[in-house]
Amino acid sequence: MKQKFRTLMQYPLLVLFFAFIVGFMVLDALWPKRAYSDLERRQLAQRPNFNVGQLLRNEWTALYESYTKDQVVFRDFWMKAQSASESLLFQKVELGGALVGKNDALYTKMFALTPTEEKLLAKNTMLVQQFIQGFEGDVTLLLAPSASLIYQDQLPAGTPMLDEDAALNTIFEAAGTSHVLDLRTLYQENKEQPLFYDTDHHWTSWGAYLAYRAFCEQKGLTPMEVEQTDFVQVPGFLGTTYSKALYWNTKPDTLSYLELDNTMQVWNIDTQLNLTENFSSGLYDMSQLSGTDKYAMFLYGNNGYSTIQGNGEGSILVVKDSYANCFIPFLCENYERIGVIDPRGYKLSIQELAKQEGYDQVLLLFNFQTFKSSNDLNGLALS
Amino acid sequence: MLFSTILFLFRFLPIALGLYYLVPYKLKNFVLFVSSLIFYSWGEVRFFPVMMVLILINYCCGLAIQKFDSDPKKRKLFLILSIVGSLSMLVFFKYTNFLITSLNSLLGTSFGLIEAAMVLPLGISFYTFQTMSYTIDVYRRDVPAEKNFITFGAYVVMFPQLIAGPIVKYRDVAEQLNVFHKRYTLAQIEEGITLFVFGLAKKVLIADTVSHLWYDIIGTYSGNTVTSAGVGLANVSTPLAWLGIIAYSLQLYFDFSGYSLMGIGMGKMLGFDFPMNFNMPYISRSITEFWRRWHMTLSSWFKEYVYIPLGGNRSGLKRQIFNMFVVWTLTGIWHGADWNFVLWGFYYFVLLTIEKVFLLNWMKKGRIWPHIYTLLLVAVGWALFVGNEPGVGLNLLFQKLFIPSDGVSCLYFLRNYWVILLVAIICCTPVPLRIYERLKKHTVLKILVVFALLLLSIAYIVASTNSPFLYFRF
Repeated sequence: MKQKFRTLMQYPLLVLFFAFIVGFMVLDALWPKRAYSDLERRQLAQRPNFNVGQLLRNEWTALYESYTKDQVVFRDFWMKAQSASESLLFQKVELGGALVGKNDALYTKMFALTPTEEKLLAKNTMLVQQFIQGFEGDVTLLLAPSASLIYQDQLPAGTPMLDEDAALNTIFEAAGTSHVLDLRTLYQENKEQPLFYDTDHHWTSWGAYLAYRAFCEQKGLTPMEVEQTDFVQVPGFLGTTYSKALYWNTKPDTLSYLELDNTMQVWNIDTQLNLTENFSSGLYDMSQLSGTDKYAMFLYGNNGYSTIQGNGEGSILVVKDSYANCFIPFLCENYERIGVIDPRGYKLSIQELAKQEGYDQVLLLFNFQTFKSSNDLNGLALS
Repeated sequence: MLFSTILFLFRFLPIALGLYYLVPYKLKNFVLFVSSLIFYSWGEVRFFPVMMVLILINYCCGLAIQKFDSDPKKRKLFLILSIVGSLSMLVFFKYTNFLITSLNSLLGTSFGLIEAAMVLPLGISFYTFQTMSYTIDVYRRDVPAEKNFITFGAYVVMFPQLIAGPIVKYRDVAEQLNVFHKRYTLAQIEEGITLFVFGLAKKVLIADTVSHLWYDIIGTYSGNTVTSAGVGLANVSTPLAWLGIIAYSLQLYFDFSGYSLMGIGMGKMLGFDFPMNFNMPYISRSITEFWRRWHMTLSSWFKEYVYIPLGGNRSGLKRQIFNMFVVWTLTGIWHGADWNFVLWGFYYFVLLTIEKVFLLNWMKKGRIWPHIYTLLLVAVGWALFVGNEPGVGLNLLFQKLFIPSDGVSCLYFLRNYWVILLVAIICCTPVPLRIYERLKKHTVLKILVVFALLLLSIAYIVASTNSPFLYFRF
């Protein structure tokens, strides 16, 4: 036995290797399983229940493989190590689908549209067009440009990005330019200001505020006057683009919001458009500020239909994606009643609801990247 | 099951190897057989019966050929039976639907595709070749038939080389399979570990990383659905098209040779010396040499079981060229059921014939240009090879490569991929191996290198989105 041990010790690599794979296996099996990864911002796969039917269709084994991968011991460490190696060892400027700008900001990689996205973009453009033509009141389309379009000069040299400018021109033309709020010139002129988060795909509250001022100007309203210093600052925000890239040299963003005491009601809605209140509260979900998804504080995330009591006159219905969540609070200054529809949670006729609830005007507010890939906008065309 | 997964590295491998080492010698082949069957069935449970039937046919035919040793007619009958058994499976799964589509487009008919043959059983091109080599060798009396079903089964379905080679002939491992005392040494296992880790690093750190350049161009697909859009081959400039083909050539080599090396390494861990499959093909100075260095076990299979039985080079130049034509048509079609693979095989037939007839002698004088000539033609070969993939298109690709055109420049791609391209190119040469040979004398350094590669590979495996081996489809 002693002799055997001594011979074995002459092969330290062999001993270490087997100790490593067996030790890894044991630790991995015992390691606590997680439901959600805060780092990657996604649900992790769970152990699949065994099922003969799934096994025969090759589905069970695939599920089991994702489970072992998602629940692997020290997963967050491996993820960060891979990203650091990509960036430091291999000197890459694209990490997990995000481009690292010269200013160390992260931009969503978007080289082209998939055939599905091409179809959706054409379809969504048509839906918007139909809605504008069909709705009796005033409709405004605000498609926020991507950070990568405004800060093209910060992208790695020669990055073959999709021509978002051309795509926006096409959409705006189809919608009719009188119905469009085009932010590109305004943003280009103010690009020294913090318009977008470095680690997230959203615009900042300040970027949204500039958009709001432009909106007021177009509608002949008097905007709420605020300075950057009026906002409450929440440091330590790592957004969704960071979750993809996990860039080692990322500096967390500071999220900011304006303290307002308006109230919001979130509604449940049935197919007959009968409304029952789900809950009511202020505009911000403060509990999100201590978590990783800080942007989710605005308007309690993406609810199907909610209403906000404002301090102005008249009413407006905002049909939107998450970009609008930090934009809408400013509208409290100018409207008495603000309706908010997120088509991800509301699939019924938008016209019908606008009529029933008596909204004077409608604002369609999306970011280009959502607009090109959303399959939730059918409600715009339902009458 | 893929080698480069957490499931394989930290579930299957420790358990399978642990059992294999711990059980008494009599049971080792049984453990190998059963664990390999689990390995095989994990990916494709439905094909478990296919595998068992294949093993059974060849096992019985091998015994029968040996039993009727003095009856040439019966021997031949069982040989033919076994080859028909292996080949019919290969043809059914791999070529039926190709034949139907070709027939339909030639004759304007509209036969439906066969549902059962839509999915190719993993590694079928490799293990059917192995079973054929077995019965042919038994028929030729080069090797005695295997009497033990478990032992024979363990040979056919052995997990290290099951899915993507090397193509191991039965006689290469027959002896070891019947060793029941000291089948492996600790030194051999340790060597196997290093080869395995090097293979893993080749696949995960180089092939998968460099592959993104090509996917940035053509996009990524799941079946025929685009999952992420590339810049599009139609939009690229000619230099970027070439950079893309270079990246694809590197990916293909590191992907396939990495997998082979992992197989060879695990073979050693189990006590088997599999034949080498790649020997730095991209340093070749002629196409002839390239094919002596690329997928060596396939070339040697065709040489031994097709080329030489046809007469090889012993019946005059004309006959030799015909024999080469047969071999290269088969090699092409072996790689895939599509016309571009036939074309690719024919392309190499033409090049090899030209070299054989006059060019080779002339090239011996050159120093640099034979390398450039070889690499250029091999890259063009890979363009033919990849031409039918979704997002590519043979015409478009060749237009982009050979008619100078403007479009997306290669600037960004050089910026993003220059280090990995450089690393990959260096790893095509003997330099890394030379450095390692020196360094491995220092045990600590050796351990550091192996573990650094292993840990980094794990990080890349955990962070990867799916990236199956390219050669799985062949």
